[in-house]
Amino acid sequence: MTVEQPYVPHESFVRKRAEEAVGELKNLEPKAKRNTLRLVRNEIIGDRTKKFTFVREGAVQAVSQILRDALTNPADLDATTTDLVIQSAATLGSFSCGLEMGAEAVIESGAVADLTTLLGSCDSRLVTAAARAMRLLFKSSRANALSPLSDAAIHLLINLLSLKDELTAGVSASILAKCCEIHGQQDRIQSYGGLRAIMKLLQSKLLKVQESSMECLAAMTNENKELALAVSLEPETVSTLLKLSKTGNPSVKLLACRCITNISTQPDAPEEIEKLRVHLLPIVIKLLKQLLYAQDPHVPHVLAKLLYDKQDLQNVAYDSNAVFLLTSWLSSLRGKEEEDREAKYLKEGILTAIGIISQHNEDARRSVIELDGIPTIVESLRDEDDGVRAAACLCAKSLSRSRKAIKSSLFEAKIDAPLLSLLSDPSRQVQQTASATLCNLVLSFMPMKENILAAGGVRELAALSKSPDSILRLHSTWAIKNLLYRADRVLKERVMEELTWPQLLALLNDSEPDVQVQAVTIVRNLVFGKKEDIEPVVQYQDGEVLSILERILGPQSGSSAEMKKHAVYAVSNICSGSNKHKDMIMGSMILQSILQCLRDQQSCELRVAAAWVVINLTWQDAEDEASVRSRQLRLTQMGFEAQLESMLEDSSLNVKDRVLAALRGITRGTRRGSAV
Amino acid sequence: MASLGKPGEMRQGSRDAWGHDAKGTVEVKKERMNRLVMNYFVTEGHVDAAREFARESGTATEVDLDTIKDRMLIRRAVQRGEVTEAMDRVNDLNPEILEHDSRLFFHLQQQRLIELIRQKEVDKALLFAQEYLAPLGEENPAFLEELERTLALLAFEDPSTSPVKDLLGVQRRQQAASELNSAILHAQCQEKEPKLPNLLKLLKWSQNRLDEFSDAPYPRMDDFETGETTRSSLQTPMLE
Repeated sequence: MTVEQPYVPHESFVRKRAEEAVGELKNLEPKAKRNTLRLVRNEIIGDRTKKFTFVREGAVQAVSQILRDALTNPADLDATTTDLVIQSAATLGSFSCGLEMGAEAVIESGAVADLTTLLGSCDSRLVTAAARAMRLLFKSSRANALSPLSDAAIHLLINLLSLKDELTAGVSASILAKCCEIHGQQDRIQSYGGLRAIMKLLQSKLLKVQESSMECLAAMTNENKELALAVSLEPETVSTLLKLSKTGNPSVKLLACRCITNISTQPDAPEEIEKLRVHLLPIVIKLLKQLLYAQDPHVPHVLAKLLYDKQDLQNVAYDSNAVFLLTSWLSSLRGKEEEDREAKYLKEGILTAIGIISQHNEDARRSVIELDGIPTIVESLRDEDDGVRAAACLCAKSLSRSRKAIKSSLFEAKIDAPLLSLLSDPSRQVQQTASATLCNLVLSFMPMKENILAAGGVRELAALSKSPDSILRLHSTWAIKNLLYRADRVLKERVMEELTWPQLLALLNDSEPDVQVQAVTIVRNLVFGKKEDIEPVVQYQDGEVLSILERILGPQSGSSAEMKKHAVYAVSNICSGSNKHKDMIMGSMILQSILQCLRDQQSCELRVAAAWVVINLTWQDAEDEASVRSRQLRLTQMGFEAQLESMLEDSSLNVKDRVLAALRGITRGTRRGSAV
Repeated sequence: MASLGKPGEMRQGSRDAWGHDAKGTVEVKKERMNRLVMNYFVTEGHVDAAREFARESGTATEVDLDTIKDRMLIRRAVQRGEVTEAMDRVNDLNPEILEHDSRLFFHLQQQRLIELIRQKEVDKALLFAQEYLAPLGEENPAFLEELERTLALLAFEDPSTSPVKDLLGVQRRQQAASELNSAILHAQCQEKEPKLPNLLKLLKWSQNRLDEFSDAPYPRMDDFETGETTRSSLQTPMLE
């Protein structure tokens, strides 16, 4: 909508006339009142300026009073009263359309209740007039402020769907569509047989009526598995929708595409319905081209939904130039000051679609960067609208999978600050996506790590790692792990200062195995490096961390191979430390578990990791031959040598290599050593 | 109107494709013909003829004949220059038409202005332009140029000889009337033109295509008034 207050020429004069008219609406006898009402109606229809003037003079109240008075005795309406009812409905409808304050006044006047009553009238003229007025109100910019319609009203609207006058039936379908969109009443509508009636109306020969039916179908099947499935099981409906998706003007096609997308993307869609996604994609891409800049907010949403979870389709979309179209559309939205709900919804759709196409496609990411889409995306991370923020975050997540993007554009656009603030976003979903994005950002690019650390990112992540939401705990521990990957000692110390040891222990004992795995890898990254890196880890609370590793690797732990693998690597890193560190392992139960890992037939990764432990424990150390010798002896006694020899023909080449190296270590300098 | 088959759908070629009636004429169902005729009456707005035809032939109309009457009254009102009356009637018929079609709305208000100027009501015309048309121009700058052109009428002593005299012509009223007529038809989901002329065009086009691409004889219709086809050993194509 444009500016709310229009320019009114000859204001005082025009205003005076409106004031007089409103006075007449209140006071005259019915016949004269009717004439004034018709005049007012003719003045305001199509003319925002006039609406504004009349609303300000209280016309809405006066007209809705006329409607209320006329309906005090609804059973017996004479011709004049009937006309008064029709004209007041038309006038109230017009006041709702195109002027926010008009719609607001109509809602406040309480006229909706009277209009709803009229839907049940036996005079078809009254029904049509009321339905038209209600549609204008439900499509107005203040529609969100309407209260949900009562069951009785919904029932009446559904009855209208089977009227012989299909145009009025179509009006009812549009209202019901809005009831779904605004108040989520699809199941209520369905309980009165609404879906069946709508599908029947879709078979109308009047295109307008078909359009309204599709509006309603699209709204009812949106995010509603049950209804989507019900529609997909109706061959007649599906074939009509397909036909409509190929013929007619773009807006008709789009409506049909919305319906088909809803039914073909729901998880339980029958196979032949699911296949329609492939079929629909070129149509939607063409619509994207046709409706570009037409600011229709639905196209990008349909595209995003269609591509969700379908990598092959995402690639087709990229090849069809969709990223170019979407990114230029996004850039064209930049710098618009006032944005209504629809503009936000559009932005959300474009960002989601870009995010989904570039999820697995590096070329797509590169296109977004080259088309200079990043600044807008980063800007949208700060948007006040929940949906836009979530979508921008999704986009950022996809882009953060590209190292090139991280090192250049994302860094330049200073994505870190807005992203960090999203870690404490009120929306859980935004938090989840933001923390996942952060995982990628901190992976390898030092300046980005520095920025995030300096901005208090670890503190935020540490706080998230205490969240009751396991996904947030997972993502935050994951990000911390990535931050620690090949980090130097200073960085490790700074991270642990924020994370704290007790919290790390808590994560190692987390109820979610996935979080535990990430915590174990944090330990693995912490003990990677020099003796000085290992020391604080094994020192904390007299080797508490070691006990946990021992437990994870123990025979009764039930740990997954993945978890064991990281634990074994952590052990192996510790074994690369000083003699003291090596002996800590030698003296623990862990050693026995390592032997078990070598025997694990399922995971060759685990066998490789375990072989590394032996390699590190027997690493040649010129200064302390004796310690090496004693470890070699102990390992042989425990049966490591025999086990390793039995693995010389391991099916995995990786394992074979490591086993050879481990055997060399265990026998080095001994009599048997020369044999190998 | 429902599906009238497309003549173009018939593949060229085999003899029996032209139909299987031994006499060489193909039956076009009377009901279909009647519906074509009815469609013509309704779309062109011949309401009395339509009513009489419905009574005589029993052909149903998909449109309420009263709405045709209203549509014709509205059209004539604009043609007479009584635009206010026309707008009142349109709003009676369906208040959404002028609400959503800002272009049409502007053209009707512009026509009201033109009529005031025609009646030499200079003061009223100026006031009207400022009160009703200026805000429309304000909201949609595309209208401003047309508005300026209309107001230019006031600048001439004798507008009927001015460079903008076309605005005062019958043509202008006709234009507004038919724009409004189309909008009403559109709101009622009816075609903007009758089917018959288009069918004839299609027939002629198909015949030309046949002549271009094939020498195969076929029953050609040359006289559209009588619908006679040229004699041929083959049978007559049907519009089916």
